[in-house]
Amino acid sequence: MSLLDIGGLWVETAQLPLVRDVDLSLARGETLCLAGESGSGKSLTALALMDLLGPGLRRRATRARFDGIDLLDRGATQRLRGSRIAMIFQEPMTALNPVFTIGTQLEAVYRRHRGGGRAEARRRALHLLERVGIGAPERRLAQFPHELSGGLRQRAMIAMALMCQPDLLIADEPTTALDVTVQAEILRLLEDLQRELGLALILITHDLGVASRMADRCAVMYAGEIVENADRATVFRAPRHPYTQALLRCIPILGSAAPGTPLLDIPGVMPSGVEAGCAFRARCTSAAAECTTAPPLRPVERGSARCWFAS
Amino acid sequence: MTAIAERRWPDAFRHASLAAGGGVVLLVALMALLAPLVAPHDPFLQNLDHRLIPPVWEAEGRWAHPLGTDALGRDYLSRLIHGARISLLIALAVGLLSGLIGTGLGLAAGYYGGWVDTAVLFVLTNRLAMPGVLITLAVVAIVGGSLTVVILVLGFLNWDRFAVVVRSAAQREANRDYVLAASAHGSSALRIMLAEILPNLVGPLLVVLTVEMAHAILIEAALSFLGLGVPPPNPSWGLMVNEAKDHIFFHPWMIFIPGIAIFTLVLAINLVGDGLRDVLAPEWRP
Amino acid sequence: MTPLLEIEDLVCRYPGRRGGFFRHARPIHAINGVSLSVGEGEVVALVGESGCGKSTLARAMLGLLKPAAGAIRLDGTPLAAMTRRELARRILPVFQDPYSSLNPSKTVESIVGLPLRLNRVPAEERRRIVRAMLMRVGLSERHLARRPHQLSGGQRQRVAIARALIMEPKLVVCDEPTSSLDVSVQAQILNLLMQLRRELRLSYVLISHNLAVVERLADRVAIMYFGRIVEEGPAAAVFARPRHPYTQALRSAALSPDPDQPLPSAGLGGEVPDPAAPPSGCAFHPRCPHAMDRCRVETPDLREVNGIAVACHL
Repeated sequence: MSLLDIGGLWVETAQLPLVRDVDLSLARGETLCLAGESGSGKSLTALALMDLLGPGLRRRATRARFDGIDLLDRGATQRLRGSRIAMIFQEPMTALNPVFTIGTQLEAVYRRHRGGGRAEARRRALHLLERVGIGAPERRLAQFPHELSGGLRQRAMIAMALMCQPDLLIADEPTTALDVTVQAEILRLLEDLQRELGLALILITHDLGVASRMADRCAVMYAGEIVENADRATVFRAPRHPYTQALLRCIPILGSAAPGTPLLDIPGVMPSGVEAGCAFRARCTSAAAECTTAPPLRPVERGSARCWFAS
Repeated sequence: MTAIAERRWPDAFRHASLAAGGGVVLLVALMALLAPLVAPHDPFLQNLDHRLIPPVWEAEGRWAHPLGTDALGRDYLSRLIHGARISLLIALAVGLLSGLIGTGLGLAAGYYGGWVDTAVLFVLTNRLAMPGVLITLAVVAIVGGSLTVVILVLGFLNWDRFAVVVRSAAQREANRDYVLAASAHGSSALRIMLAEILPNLVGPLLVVLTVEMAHAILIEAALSFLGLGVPPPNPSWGLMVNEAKDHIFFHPWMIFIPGIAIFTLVLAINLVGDGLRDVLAPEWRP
Repeated sequence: MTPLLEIEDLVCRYPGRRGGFFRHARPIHAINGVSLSVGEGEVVALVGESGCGKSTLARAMLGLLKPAAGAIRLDGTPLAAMTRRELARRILPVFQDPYSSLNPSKTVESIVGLPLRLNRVPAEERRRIVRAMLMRVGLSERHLARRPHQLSGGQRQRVAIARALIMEPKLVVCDEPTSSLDVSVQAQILNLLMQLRRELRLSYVLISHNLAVVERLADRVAIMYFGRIVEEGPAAAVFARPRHPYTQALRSAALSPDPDQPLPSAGLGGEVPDPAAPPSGCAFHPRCPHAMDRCRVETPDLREVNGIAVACHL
């Protein structure tokens, strides 16, 4: 049975849908990557799950269940948030409160959801800081977020997310603001923690390199829709949707071509409004007459794709 | 972020407070501009036969003097209309003068930083430590009240809010790459401040300008009321209140009419400021 | 032949962290003895992580920062001897974030035409040149009257490139030109840069942390760590067989989309040291998997072997 099961999720402003008809399901211990370019709706999808959409945005879904609990019930979602579903963000500096110490913030999360005394919360905070690879945890507990480096802050953020033993961790571009050498370590930490704690992980990233190393399954988003959802090997070795194919060809790869060789690009830009027909039609090299009708997410070999021609 | 850049004027008019305030200010401005044409009588013309005629809504009122006449028989409506000229002139002149000083200092401090910033902050702290009202009173008492003196004193005293707002906005803009790019293309510091940074500060500047204008009107009214502002027989609203205070028990309307005029104009200017703030510079909302 | 740009033993310092009233802290060395040259028509890449000094180096090249020691020469003339305007005709920047590098209150025409205006080109001619340049970078007349917020990220970066090229400089300093763009747009911009280089015989100093991008564009590459160059040589050779442990770490941390590869196993651990408290000896030794006693004491010099210079005791 899947831990998370979302069907027909929409996020919209008064005028415009931003996320359209998203289906997601995730089992315990599984990693799902939501990949896509900026504006594709991947972060909004996650925020909608957590009921953290900003003002002016509405969500609706035909079904949204987390371990048997209805996520459309706002009260239930609020109780899950921070305890059984935790989230980490791209820039931990903005997610951590600058006027409280790391220790205070970690303990507060635990005591809010679990109750218990300060000593117990502090023990858990120390244990987790150590677990996420922060040296001298006692000293770090007393420090303020700005006193830590970017990598350490992200580790502290992860520790905070783990305080209440969540079942699902949503990581929104957790390494985008970090240097590449630090990125690899944070990703490995996430992978280890997931294996050890049996976490389900939704990793939101624009970096297909990261997605290809981390995902069990990968959902590629474009203009608010999932255009392809399949296991890692299929998405990165034999993608079915023309957008995924084109996107993978755009990425320069070390040692793959002589210097000065032009890169393949996708002409044009992602449409920001709703267009009739397939959203990728205008940039697609294999667009045909059928594409003026919007394709549904169709089952294809080992996954699903939103294209009339995928098989 | 794009709120300053996108000047959505149509939205501005949809904004109720902006529309209401703007309407009143526009009306007063028109009245002031066309005062000689609009006013039914000469505001200086005394007619001792027609002293203290009450406004039309009272029993003895007459349409020849819709708002009545004062103790010297001058037409109250005409004095009110001409008084708008003084209030608006003071507001604009003080706003302009203090705006120039404050924006100049703020831009330099925000853009250069370092010792320029320290120096400007030093001047600013000193200015803030000075009791503005007392200094104004003292100067006017020594030099003697006149329109020019009031404008100069208020202009040189009330630039602090401009400086503070412009300094922090300029600091933020100066850290953006377009400033660096302009500098790499050979722009002079002066050009960068005036042509690159300043246009991006229009929003917050307009907001501060309205606040300062309203403030100037109030201070002028207060000074004139104390007899230290615009000298008689000029029809300043503050002076009208002052001249009416002897008649407060028998002719309270003499105080109410100029009082309401001051209140309405200041309120309208503040409404415009609030509306502009919402439209142009939401980040400056208090 | 003198190279187009020559940097010799450059040292740049920043005043220490601004600490309110007591502002005079110890100066921080952002660049600590860097030498580099860029030939005519050459693309030289500076690679390194945040805080390695690559952006400081770029600012020094553009004359936006006064070096504490050392010299930068453009066509044999020291930067210090040139006026701002002279410099601005020969070496120009393209910044990382086109949202911040274009003035939000100006039109495209005014942004691209600014360098011409500063050089007193008459309005008629200015308009003609701006149009031609917009065509060249893949924009059209339609865009002349737009403001930055009406353009997409890729279009903005094209405007920034047009502005940099309008005075026909010889050298363009591209500071992470595509790292704030999406990959599909990144490819468009990189192709444009390559095309313009061929057409206009430009040289680039390309600052990037993306090794694959660097490999595609650059002839030579300099890897920087903590204010020094730790490895320098032809891009292909450096990436094919990185010698410095830091280059090796960067190389293995670069994640290409490959479902068969796991995450790189052994990482560096730690992070770039605090510039206010630099480590002794080789700045990389606290994170280096091969650090020896000697590394803790002695700072290694750049030594050249077969055209590749490496600063490592190994």
